Amino acid sequence: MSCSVDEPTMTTAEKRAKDRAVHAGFCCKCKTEKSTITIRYAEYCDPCFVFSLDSKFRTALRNARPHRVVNPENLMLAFSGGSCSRSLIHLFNVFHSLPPEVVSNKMHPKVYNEIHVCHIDESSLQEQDQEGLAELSTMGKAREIAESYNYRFHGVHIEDIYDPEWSDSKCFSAVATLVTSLPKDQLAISGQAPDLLSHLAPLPAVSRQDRITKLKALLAACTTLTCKETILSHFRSSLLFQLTKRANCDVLVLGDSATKVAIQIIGLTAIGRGFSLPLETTAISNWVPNCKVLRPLKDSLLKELDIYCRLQNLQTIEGHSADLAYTVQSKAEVKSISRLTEEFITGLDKDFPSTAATVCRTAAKLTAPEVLYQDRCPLCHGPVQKGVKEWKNRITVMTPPNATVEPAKPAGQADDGCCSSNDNSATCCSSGPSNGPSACSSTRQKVDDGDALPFSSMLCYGCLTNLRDLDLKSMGNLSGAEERSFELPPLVAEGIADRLGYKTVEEALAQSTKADPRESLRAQIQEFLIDDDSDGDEEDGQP
Amino acid sequence: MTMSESLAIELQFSGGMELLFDNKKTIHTKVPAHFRQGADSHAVTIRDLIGWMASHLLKERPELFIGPDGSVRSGILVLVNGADWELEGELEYELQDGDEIVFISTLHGG
Ligand SMILES: [Zn+2]
Ligand SMILES: [Zn+2]
Repeated sequence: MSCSVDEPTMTTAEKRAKDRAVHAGFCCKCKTEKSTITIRYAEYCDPCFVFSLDSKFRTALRNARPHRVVNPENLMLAFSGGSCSRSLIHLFNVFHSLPPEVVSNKMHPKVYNEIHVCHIDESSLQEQDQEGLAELSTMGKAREIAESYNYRFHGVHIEDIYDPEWSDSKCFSAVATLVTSLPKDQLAISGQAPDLLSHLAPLPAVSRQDRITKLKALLAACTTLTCKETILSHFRSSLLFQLTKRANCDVLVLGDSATKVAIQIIGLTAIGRGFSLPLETTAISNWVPNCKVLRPLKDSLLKELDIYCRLQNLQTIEGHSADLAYTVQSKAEVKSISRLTEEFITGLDKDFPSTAATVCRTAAKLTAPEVLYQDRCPLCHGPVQKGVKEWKNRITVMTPPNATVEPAKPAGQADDGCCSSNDNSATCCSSGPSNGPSACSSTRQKVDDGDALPFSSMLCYGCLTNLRDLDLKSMGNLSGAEERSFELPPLVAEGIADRLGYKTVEEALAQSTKADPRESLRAQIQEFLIDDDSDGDEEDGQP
Repeated sequence: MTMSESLAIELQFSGGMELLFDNKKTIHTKVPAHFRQGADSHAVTIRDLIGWMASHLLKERPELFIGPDGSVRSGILVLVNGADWELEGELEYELQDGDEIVFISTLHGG
């Protein structure tokens, strides 16, 4: 047995490799059983694999909590129905069934107080007719699984994001609609991303079907699958935080695996979300006040958790996350950035089994941005990097709004019978070929510019970039066109009001009808206007 | 052994794989014990099985199951009688009568 004595300078990987050479075909832990599972070059038998996954999980929990637990926390486990979060629930149950602390020291206080499980049912977004929906619902199955462990279950439907009840104040009964700063005819020719402004509108109580319709309308306005998936992921995490707070839990525990985290690292960077990346990938994050986020499985590969579920006979919920691919028209868009990244990482992982771990290790060196939570992005609730707007302005030629917006005329006063009313303007200005666009816009009446609030100026870089994939035709604009085909949910409207310092929905709605959008927009871009006193038209070289 | 001989194989699908196979979680099937390659014939391997499944059992979207190299697409985990197929020779594993082969899609797990 002298050959199996490890040299003190050997790395773990080398030791493993040596173990393998000596015991090829046998488990690297017990060295007596035939191996059945191989994870990153190491071979395990079934019991040793389960044991090692369990100890990896315990280590992650230990690293995430203080040395001495004084006040045991309440945990909320986010359960999607997939193998990772399914493993998470089971691992917590095993952890609490026989905590080693209790075995070794009977006086040791409880590590965690209560364990809750929550689930977001996304079945309403599946490609299915009305009758089939109930069948697709994942809520009952999720509840059953949680309750089989005697964990309190909390469920919400993804469309409930449109319920004022699920805003942070539980009563923000307003939605936000968006308008562009450019008239439609100029959108087509400018090729630039226009500024987005917002309106708040009261949201009366709506039925579940109405909420689904509203959510689908928003997703329909996203022109790419990436845009849809990104917005949906913001809503998902907003709901998870609300669920956690409402159950009086201190910690939101996510089942993100190393594979998922690696995919996130590459995918989020690709869509311009590098700034908030640490918050979305670290083992522990403290961004949201009074709600820690824990990822105790981020050192375990998806493969490990799939095998764990199989070995422990854990039922997962099939079709638990909505596949939105059916909602995009063109074949090219069937793959989103996150799908492509997923294929990229899993493809690499097949030949280079340490890909995911290496990506995670590298990103673990990133530190969380130092930004105040109160300055969060109204859409994703993530940190907003200072100077996003300045930077975007520097690299983008923006058209000053007063160059394109005509002076307001009294509402309802027809001046040429062409663009005097909302109903006509759509058919006339946007599609009427007989009327030249410039002639039309010069006489266009401003109908609804008196109540816009800023929007894009408050967004984080990632959201600003993502919203470029919003179909501008689905929004109104400041020069009169009023077709708004979607609304942003109360939680987003609340985020806008919050950033502007409005305390209640009533105050926000009242203010929203007073503010002059040109003033607010001008104020935002003030320092970037070369000469504020002269007419913006000339500087911009426009007629 | 005659060429007409076949092996009884139990196929299992999970993690969404079943959607490609008529929503069946388990399929009991018989596969030919030998496959012909040119003039030679050899005992059926997992490689043969994957190709055979693609042409005989697959209901839709073959690109979600079989890759261009004739193996399963990356992100699909294969277990042979409960053991990781990487330990059993992967594509070259020779099927035995009564084998249980599990296909788990690891993509979109949450
Ligand atoms: Zn072992
Ligand atoms: Zn954002």
